[in-house]
Amino acid sequence: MNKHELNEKIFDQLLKYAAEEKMDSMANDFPSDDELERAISFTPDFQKRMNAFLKKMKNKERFLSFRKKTMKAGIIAAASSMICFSVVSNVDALRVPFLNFLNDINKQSTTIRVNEGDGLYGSFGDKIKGLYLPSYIPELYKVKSINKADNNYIVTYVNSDGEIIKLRSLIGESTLGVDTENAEIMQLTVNGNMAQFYSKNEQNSLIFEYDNNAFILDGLMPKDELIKIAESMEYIT
Amino acid sequence: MGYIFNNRPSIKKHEILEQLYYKYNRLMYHIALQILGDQFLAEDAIQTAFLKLEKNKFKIDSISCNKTKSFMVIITRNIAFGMYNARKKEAITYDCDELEEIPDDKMLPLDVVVSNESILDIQDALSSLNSKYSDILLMKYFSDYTNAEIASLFNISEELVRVRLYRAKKLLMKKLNEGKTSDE
Repeated sequence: MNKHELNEKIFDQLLKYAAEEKMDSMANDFPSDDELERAISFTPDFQKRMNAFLKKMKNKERFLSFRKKTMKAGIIAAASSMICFSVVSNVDALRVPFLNFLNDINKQSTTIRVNEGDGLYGSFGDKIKGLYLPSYIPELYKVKSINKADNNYIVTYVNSDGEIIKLRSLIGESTLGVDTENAEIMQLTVNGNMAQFYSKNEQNSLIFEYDNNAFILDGLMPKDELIKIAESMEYIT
Repeated sequence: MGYIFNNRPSIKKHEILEQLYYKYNRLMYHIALQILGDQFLAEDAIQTAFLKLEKNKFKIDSISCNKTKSFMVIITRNIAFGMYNARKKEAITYDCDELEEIPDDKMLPLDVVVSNESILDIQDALSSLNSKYSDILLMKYFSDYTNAEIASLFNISEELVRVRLYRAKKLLMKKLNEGKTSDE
């Protein structure tokens, strides 16, 4: 490096420092928020336009986030092989990631169980704080267990006939591979966001979004019931 | 493209943009109106600025700080200038100022800095430049934007960014050499 190049590099560094100082100091040349608040009002059309723009931007980002999460989840699900441990998929390759997930749960999980006769979440107290859970569950179903691992959890609901509904969260960097073979797939809107419904061998599954997080819900019940559960999601404080 | 919000990397981009909008919309309007002289065009400039921010990477430390305020002003100002030029049907590139011949300085940059013994001289020289030059230097040297990123944010060609950067540094050196910081 010759002297000129070296000087150029040093000058660039000094300029960088000066630019930072300048960015800080030039803000003092502009009118204050109070002055601007008094002096400026926007046209109604502009306010409407910007509100629509901001909303669109939000929806776009939520859609992209949802798509990313569902892609991580393998997108297409067959309900039985996803949540119910007893059902065997015939697509071994796709089962592997899910089984890995289960292994993970077994190693790191905390299972919370409730006694027969408890209310929906009444006996859990503080243990369910910070979770997203449905406030609606079909009649005769009760919470059987909540299995937590890191940020994610599986909630199992069961009725007197032993039929199960499972809610699985996909928060953060969760991944889930699922059996896609011969599943009936349908695009829906749940909670104002895109959702996907899968049906296979009478098991139905719904992948949906709530508050920027993805969830998978499945059970032996009609699509409308799954949607009703998904639409009753709320954050437990 | 993404964005960088240094203090809270997990916050969503639309939330940042929404907060920036409500914090700076009037200041942006004030800046755009000074240039465009038309309320509706000034409003359009604000929307265009947010469209650009949505599509491009940007770096801020917090919503309410001087640097972010300056950043929003620079973006708005350059978009408004672009709109103004477009309305006047002027060529986007190489206006008279851009074509002005600036002689090569014999003194090397470091010599100038050392002789002035203060970085404040660079700041003063920056302040004395036409905003189209100082803004581009600030974006390049403060925010570390590439020419392509600046071109996208300012709605100008990459070639014009390159030319302006070159000439901005030349003008800066000229002012440092002359020891004066007033515009022409």
